[in-house]
Amino acid sequence: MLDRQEIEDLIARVGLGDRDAFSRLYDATSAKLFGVCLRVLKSRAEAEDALQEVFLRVWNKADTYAVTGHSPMTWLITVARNLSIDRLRAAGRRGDELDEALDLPDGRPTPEAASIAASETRRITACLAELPQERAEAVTAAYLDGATYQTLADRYEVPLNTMRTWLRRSLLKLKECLSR
Amino acid sequence: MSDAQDIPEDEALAAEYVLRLLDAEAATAFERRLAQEPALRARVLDWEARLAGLADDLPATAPPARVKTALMADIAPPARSARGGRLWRWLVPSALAAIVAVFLVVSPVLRGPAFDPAFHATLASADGALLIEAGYDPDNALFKVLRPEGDPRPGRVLELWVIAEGADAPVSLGVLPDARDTFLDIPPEIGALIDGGTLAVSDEPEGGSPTGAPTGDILATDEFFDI
Repeated sequence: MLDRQEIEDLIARVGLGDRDAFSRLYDATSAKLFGVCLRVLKSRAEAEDALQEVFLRVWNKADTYAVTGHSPMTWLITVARNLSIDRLRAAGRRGDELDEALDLPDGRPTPEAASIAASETRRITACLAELPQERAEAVTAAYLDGATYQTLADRYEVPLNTMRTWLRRSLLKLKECLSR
Repeated sequence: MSDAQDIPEDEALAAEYVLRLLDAEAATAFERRLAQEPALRARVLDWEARLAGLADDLPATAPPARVKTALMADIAPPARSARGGRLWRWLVPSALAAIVAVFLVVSPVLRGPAFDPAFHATLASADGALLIEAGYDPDNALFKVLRPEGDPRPGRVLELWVIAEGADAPVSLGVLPDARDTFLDIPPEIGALIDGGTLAVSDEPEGGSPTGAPTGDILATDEFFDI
């Protein structure tokens, strides 16, 4: 497994058009990012297309990575999640299939997969757990299922404005918790 | 908004933007502000970092090999060698003519009797507000810049940079004048950095960067391609 510095170096070299670095970056991170695409799109065929788009974006935009100040996996996950949500939206889906079971035959964690520092991931999980369960679910549904305010309002049977206030408060609580 | 008293609006908007909860109109308005407000961009980046943790627990799944095969083909260098371009022009004049014809159709405004660009780059800012086309003709030492869209912010200027292949530090190509169609004076030693290099545009104080390196936001970058 590559550490943060090694992935960062690979991204820097990809930014300069280094194809060998690109190949190594793909090997180190594609399983993780494919997992993200699959989770959002819930279709292997769409997730494959999305993953290809993600890595083309990485190839073309690696030189802009440094200005984000993100850790390398945060940047890569953000690219994968955003492009997947864009595809979901382009297909006219709004995260309506929140409860759909995932059919992921190969969904075993691969030990060599790169990840954000485990402590950071544990922190957001712990902070979500401080929210009422429904609200934590709503945040996750927006991030990973592309749920819109309308979808969430329908799901929780509250008016749209109530849903918005609800979610905004939850997000700010989350921020407070994470900055503790 | 009813919750304006107890919820900081920009913080909430940044989070909603990252979650893709804003409707198209609100998202466009927010992106317009993002282009101008570094503090707002910082909020967006903070939310991206916070929320990315939600995806980090997901099971990693090996994608099928065909994805990588397709990608490596996508990024493979073109069949002809960029370095051999000059010789190649003599060997395959008809193919060259076809490519030049396509280029002239695509970028009619770059056409000029004494201007035969060998390298071209297009700069487009993320919000689409700024569009710059640049062409470099090394034989005639001409660097032409067209700016069909976008202006510098009041009291600021746009400065162009080239980052040579394999280099870290950008080298200034000069500040863009008000004219939308202009030639920049490029010394040959800087022109030599363009083949294989990357073009960038930054937001700078009047008169250009005082430090010799970009001091404001990099608004867009693009690799030069060998026409």
